[in-house]
Amino acid sequence: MAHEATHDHHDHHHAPQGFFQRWVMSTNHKDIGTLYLVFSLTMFFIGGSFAMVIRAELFKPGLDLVQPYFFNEMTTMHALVMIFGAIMPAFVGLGNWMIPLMIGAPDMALPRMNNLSFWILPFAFALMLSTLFLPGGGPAGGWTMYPPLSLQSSSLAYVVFAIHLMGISSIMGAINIIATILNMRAPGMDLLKMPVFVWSWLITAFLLIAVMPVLAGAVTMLLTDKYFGTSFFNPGGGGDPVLYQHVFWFFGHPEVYIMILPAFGIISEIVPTFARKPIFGYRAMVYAIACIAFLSFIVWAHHMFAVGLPLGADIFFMYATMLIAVPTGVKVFNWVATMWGGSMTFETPMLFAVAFIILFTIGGFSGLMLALVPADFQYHDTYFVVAHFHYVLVTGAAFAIMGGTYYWLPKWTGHMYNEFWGKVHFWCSVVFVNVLFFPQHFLGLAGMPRRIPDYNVAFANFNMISSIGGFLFGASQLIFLGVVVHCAFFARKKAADRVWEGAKGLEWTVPSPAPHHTFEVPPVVRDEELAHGHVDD
Amino acid sequence: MTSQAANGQLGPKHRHGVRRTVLVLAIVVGAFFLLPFVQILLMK
Amino acid sequence: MTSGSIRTDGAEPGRGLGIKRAVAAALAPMLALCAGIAQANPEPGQLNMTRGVTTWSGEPYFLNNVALGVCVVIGIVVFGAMFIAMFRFRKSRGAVPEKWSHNTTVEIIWTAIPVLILMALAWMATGGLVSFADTTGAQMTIKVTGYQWKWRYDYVDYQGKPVSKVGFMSRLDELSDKTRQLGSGMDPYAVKTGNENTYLLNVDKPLVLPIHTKIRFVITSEDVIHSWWVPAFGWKMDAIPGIVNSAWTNINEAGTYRGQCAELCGQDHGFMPIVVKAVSQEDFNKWLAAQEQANAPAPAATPAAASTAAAPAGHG
Repeated sequence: MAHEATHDHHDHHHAPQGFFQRWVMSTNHKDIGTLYLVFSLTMFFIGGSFAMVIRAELFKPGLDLVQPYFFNEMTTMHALVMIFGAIMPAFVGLGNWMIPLMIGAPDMALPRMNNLSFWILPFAFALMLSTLFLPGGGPAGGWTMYPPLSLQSSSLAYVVFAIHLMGISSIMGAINIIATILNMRAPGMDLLKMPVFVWSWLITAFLLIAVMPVLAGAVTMLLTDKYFGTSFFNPGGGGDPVLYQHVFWFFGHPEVYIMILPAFGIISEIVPTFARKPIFGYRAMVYAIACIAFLSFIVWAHHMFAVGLPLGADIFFMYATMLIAVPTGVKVFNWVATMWGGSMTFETPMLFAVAFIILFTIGGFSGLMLALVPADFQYHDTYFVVAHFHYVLVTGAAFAIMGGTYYWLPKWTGHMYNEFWGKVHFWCSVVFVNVLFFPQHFLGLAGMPRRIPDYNVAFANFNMISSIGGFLFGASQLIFLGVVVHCAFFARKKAADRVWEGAKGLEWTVPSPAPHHTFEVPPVVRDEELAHGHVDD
Repeated sequence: MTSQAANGQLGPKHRHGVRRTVLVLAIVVGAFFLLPFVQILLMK
Repeated sequence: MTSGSIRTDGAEPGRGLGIKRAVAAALAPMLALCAGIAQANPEPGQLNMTRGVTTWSGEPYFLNNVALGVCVVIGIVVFGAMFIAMFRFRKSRGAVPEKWSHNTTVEIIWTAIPVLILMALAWMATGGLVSFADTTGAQMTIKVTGYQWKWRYDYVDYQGKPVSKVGFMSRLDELSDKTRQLGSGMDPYAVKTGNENTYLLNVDKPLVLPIHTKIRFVITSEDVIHSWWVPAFGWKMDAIPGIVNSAWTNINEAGTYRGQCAELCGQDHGFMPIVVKAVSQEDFNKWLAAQEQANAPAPAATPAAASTAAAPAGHG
């Protein structure tokens, strides 16, 4: 089997010895993947601490802890850190680790650029987070940075530069992933035999290539408006603030799918493994991802129904948005159909996958409700929207990342994580995340706007429940940290090469832990080894 | 201690493929960066 | 006189609502529970959107209920199937994995059914949207201007006649403002107007409007983007510098309706509420006459009533 193909060359098998040389000068996809994941986890806790400040201030009516401006800094930074620092790097890290292993490539196509894409990130975030300690404060106009408000911020230049760096990093990462997938597949690994995770990343990378430059353009215009006297968005000079929103959301909506498509890929790996049954409708899954990606480009103005769009535009963007429910529904139905007739066990990755399917779908339901323009006139910019996108991003993207981490952790470290504590982490997370976000639906429906530091006493009870859920959800993530650290450094139970009984695909044919170099000689791909290769559909 | 791929040990077929892919994608990136500026100029 | 035309205005959406009401009732009877407790201003423990008090505000409310009902039904079917699968096809119960991974018929079915449901929802939503977009036939125009962090209201015309020099700033009331300061030591629960807690939902000068009158709002801003939102009216509309947006309402019941700025506009975004006092047409006529009289003799003396004629004409 493929094992022979990865036959040991002992001189190549070991990582460089020096810490600096190994981690800072690394061109190895596994080490860079690890760096991305560690960075993402760090940012997850930093962004999470901002969320704790937010929930603490909202614990009861009345300003008790922070000034309103600092509260706005927290909401802005929480979003920027979680989106660009936690979710996106986590997916890039998983992609770095797993894509070459899944397609039988020796490494990424552009290993040195891979190093650069990662090492830009710590500098970008150091720059952005430093604004919190500077006179004048950090950005406080929301992560969307709508002008003219964002132009009032004295830290705009820092944030714009940081976003340019993150954009360059993402674009290089995306180019690398596309070049790898298109050029480095082992012989016999046809495009339509690739794991769904690889497909989801290929499509996501194209989205990144298309929209990160648009964001760069938009924030560049903000910069020149503030410092160089241009009037792109300044009505006093003939500009138009709404134009920024169009450009921003042309980036912003595909960005939302950048954060969820790889999650679909991860769930599409986990569910068949633990159902011990090939994924239902492989091609439909791939086409659905492509379809969602295409639709993401023509729905941006559904974030702007309250800016006073013409009637025709409202109707077009409403219909286009509702259409997304069809391919997304197909994915959910296919995951359920994959389970049907399987032989299921429920280890931690599968628990996260099941929770993902249910809770992400709830986020999808509220998304459908938000698409209906007259109802959106009420929902827009309320806690209903906050609840919606946290269901999609926390119980969607973040749960998929956690599930994927548990799924592949034994392959990375060579040891099994502690299943008991993994399950404790799961159950705490899934209970508290609902205590945290479900009441926010009610708050939004009752009329509580987003991004306010204080509120009328009518909103007090659900805010307190939500805050309690928030603190407990935050604390639960320390269990996650503990399980990962334990597995990486202290666990004794060795993991088998094929960690999970039902796991298929090339990544399970290499030893656990995956040696420093794999597939130096392309593996012989046998269709029955692949998750989908032997399936005729 | 770079990996084989970094040492240029890709076969010529791979190297050409990767170069062509990167070139095309770089052009796409440039085009999309200019897109908002073009859009604004057209709307003026 | 004008009441006839109001009835015609109200009839179109009203008929649409009747159908929607029937659909809502058929799809999700459990929603009646939430619908029963709908009210205009936020209440502790409120679970659902308000029905609102205007001729149009039922549109978002019924769309919300219908869409929620549809989602609950789909959720029960899908999650139900999933839980049955998780129970029946467990390895610990000796389930043997089957080999199939494809079934064209069911795939077509579960693509087609959502399309049909979406078409029904889209049809209902389009009706509500079209009726909202029609701001013609208004008997009154109010200009709303957002500032950091207060609102300005100017009465532009009423019953076809221009209103002269009636306009004022409206900002957070003093008691709320004192209470909301960090470390004020004051109790938000003690901020009351009558029996109602109005912490952060009260202003010094409310916008006074007549009921049973189609009122057109023109909404703009002088600095950053704000959003004018009274939930009881069923919509919010962004106030954007350099742009004049329009929207309309026709209030059915007299009362006091509270809302807030809904677009992040800086540090005091949470502290620029909106209060609308809806009164009968007779009371409104008296109030407007008194305002006009008070402002007429010495317009320069009251800075709050800066001339509406000087309002940015270039925006139009």
